[in-house]
Amino acid sequence: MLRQREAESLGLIEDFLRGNDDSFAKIALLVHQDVLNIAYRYVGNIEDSKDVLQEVLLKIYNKLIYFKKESKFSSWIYRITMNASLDFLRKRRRGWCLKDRYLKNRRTTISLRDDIDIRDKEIIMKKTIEELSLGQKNVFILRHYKGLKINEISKTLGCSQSSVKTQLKRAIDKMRKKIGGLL
Amino acid sequence: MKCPSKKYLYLYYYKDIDEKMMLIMEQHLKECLLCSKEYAKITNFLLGFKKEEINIEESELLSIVNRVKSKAIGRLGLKERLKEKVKFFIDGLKWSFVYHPRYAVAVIGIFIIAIGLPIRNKIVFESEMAEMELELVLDLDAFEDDIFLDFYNS
Repeated sequence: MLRQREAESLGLIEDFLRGNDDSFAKIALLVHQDVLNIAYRYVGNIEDSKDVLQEVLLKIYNKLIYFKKESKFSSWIYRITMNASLDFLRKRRRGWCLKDRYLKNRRTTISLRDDIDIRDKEIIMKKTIEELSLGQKNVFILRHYKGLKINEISKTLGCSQSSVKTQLKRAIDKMRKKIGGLL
Repeated sequence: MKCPSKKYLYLYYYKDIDEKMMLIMEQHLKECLLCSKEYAKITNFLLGFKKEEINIEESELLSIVNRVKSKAIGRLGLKERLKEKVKFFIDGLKWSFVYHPRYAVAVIGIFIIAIGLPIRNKIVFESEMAEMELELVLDLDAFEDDIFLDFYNS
């Protein structure tokens, strides 16, 4: 994971800024997994995640000169990835597949007696995350999927720890209320 | 112990609280049936959000990297990078005045000194001049008296 390889990434950054273009491929290798997985939580599919990855790498290539070493490289990458994912979602309308439309027309709270298969559950859970507010979504994705601690999330997002805890609580409460007894 | 808020149950699930709170929560969950049931529901719920990782082949990643390099502005030369750094520093300084009031206070202080010092010097100079004029007048009076006395005595 990127967080565990901060020192290595700083060395590669210095190398890249000195003019060694090959270091960029190594930086890409270091960050691509984290970027892909965060983007996937926002955009919902692998192909779009690759598009976001390309955007993020382009931003890194052009903006690495502005990276301040006071903050962690991983925090910087996470911020760029979240912004790029949100920009992607804004620019492209995500068409619902037929099954998603079918699910939208069903009751919002699904009883355990209904015959729900695994694929439906995944779609419902993805949709539930999508419906969170921006702050709640950011906090939940970083805490649940990336395993960042509360203090790391507060530094990455630039807000207080109590705000992060509140957002996390609201996100999970909202999702529990939405999904009901499904899980 | 009073039941903690749900926020602490969520943080306990993620093991993202300090050691002292961790022990308190562990003890409370052993003693409180309601909270332990709630915690079980929370665990079951959050485990449903699977953390599967996606990945791509290295060859595909390298082709993305090559596309990025062809799209990128182009590596900046030393002069351009220096210009960018200076511009970035100046922009950062502007924001420093917004986010760090001590810089604004320092500038205002320097401004006050820069304006105040000449005014103060002017006032001091004028008062010294006034004193010197007075001394000159008194000396002149004394001089005139001496002449008058000399004349009178002669």
